[in-house]
Amino acid sequence: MEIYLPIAETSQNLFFLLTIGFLAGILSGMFGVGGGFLTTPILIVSGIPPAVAVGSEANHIVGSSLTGFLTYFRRKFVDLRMGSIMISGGGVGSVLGVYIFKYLSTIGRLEEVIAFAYILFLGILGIYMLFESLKTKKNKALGNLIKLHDHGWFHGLPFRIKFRRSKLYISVIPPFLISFFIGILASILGVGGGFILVPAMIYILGMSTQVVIGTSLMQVLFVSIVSTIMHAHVNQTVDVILSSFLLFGGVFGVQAGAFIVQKISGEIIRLLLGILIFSLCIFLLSKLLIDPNLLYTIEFIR
Amino acid sequence: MKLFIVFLILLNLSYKKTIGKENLIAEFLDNQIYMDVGFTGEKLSYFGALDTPGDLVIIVTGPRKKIKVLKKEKKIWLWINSKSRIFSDVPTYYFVASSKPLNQIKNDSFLKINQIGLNNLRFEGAEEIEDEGRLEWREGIIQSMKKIGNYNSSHGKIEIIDNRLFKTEISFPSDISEGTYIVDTLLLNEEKVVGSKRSFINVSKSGLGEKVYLFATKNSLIYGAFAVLMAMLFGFLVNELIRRINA
Repeated sequence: MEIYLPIAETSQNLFFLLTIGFLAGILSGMFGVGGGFLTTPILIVSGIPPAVAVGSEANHIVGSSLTGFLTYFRRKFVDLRMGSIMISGGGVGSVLGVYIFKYLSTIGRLEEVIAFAYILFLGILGIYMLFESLKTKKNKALGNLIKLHDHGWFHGLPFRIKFRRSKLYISVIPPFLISFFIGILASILGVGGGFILVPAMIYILGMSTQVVIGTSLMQVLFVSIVSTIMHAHVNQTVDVILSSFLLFGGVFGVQAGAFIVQKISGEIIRLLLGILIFSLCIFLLSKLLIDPNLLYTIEFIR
Repeated sequence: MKLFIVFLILLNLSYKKTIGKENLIAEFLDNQIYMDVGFTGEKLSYFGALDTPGDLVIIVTGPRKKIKVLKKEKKIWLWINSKSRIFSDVPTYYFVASSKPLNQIKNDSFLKINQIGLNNLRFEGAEEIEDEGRLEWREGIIQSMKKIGNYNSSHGKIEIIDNRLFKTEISFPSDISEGTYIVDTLLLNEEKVVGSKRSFINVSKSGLGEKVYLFATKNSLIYGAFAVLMAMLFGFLVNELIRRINA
């Protein structure tokens, strides 16, 4: 069954959209990420104009990250103080990102920047997760203790604040800058940024892992709200019909994900996600390497 | 039922014909295309009658728009968009059908002047590209349009029954643009145009699709806020649902 998307100005299979939403939902149920890093490239490859895929995905993430955030918030697994700093950084970053997006689109570089950025981030993340999951497995077997976190020089920058929930006493500058860059990235790539933010919070900031996902979801929620409104206003590329079907598919996905998480061990899940991310990266890279069918592409100017 | 309507319209048309002397009459059963949420493209039947025998050519041209064309080139190992050009006045839709192959009906210069057939389409703009380069860009546009289905890739056929009645089907993909489509029908006999008729097709968004589109373009800021609220309501409800199930 096909459905016409009025902003994307093309029709798409209804069950296909529900399935993508379902997959993204599984990821959010399992890892507390929005799933945008998976959804946006799939939508683009399936023929949704890249700008509309990015804008509508931001809208989709608003819903899926709120679901996750509320769950963590109720269990009090959110560092509100850290979250507020990240919100301010991410908010500024995402507004800037929407304008960079518009600029890239006018000079005709948008698709390549999106493709390159995905290949880069998915590649790094995929390889990292594969190695990490294998290493933890080994460490577990050896019975080694993993150190909580290392103190980097940037932790000692001015404006140090105590983050009680994160078990940290560090400068506000690193979290602000990290969330600022992720805000830019989120607006350009149509992702919430959780898939980069979570590792950055653990390995760069050294936050207590218990509150990492909840706090990252707080930032993702806020950034995707700003990014949706900005994309709708500046680029007019948010298709609510498209995002509602993704959200609807996600309803079932989130539950499936939460179920799977209880059945399979963490390392296996990370290994599987690593493989998934890495193969998506290879797929996107192959599209740049293989001779295209059509050398010319066209875009209607509104 | 459909046949009956066709018959009525033909009757009506032939009645009109006795008033004004026309060699060709043609009509759509329905010349409105509405793109609602369920829209997946449409097929329109176009039919009519001829007074004198001859060959028919039907050309459908969609609203002309400005387009940006990007050309990919291989840089080191990667295929990236290396050049871009703006073409103005490119038909967003083009369909041609004829009762015989075009070159058997009329000479090439006539086809070229009247832009009949994909090979004779002209696109304005990007004047800096000349001759052979321009042909390549033009072919690029046509190939991309064919891929979306906006230009018909196989030449359309027109059936003529008893040298009197004709019928053809024009199909539109889901990617078509809104606007007025011009349908030109030419009746030719021995290279002479003996009858012609211009009709129109109206394509517009409608229903929920139209409402969303108008909302998004006219009140973009409020639309953005609405989109956020909708997603948040969804997210909240899903969270509640999960809580109920787990409890």
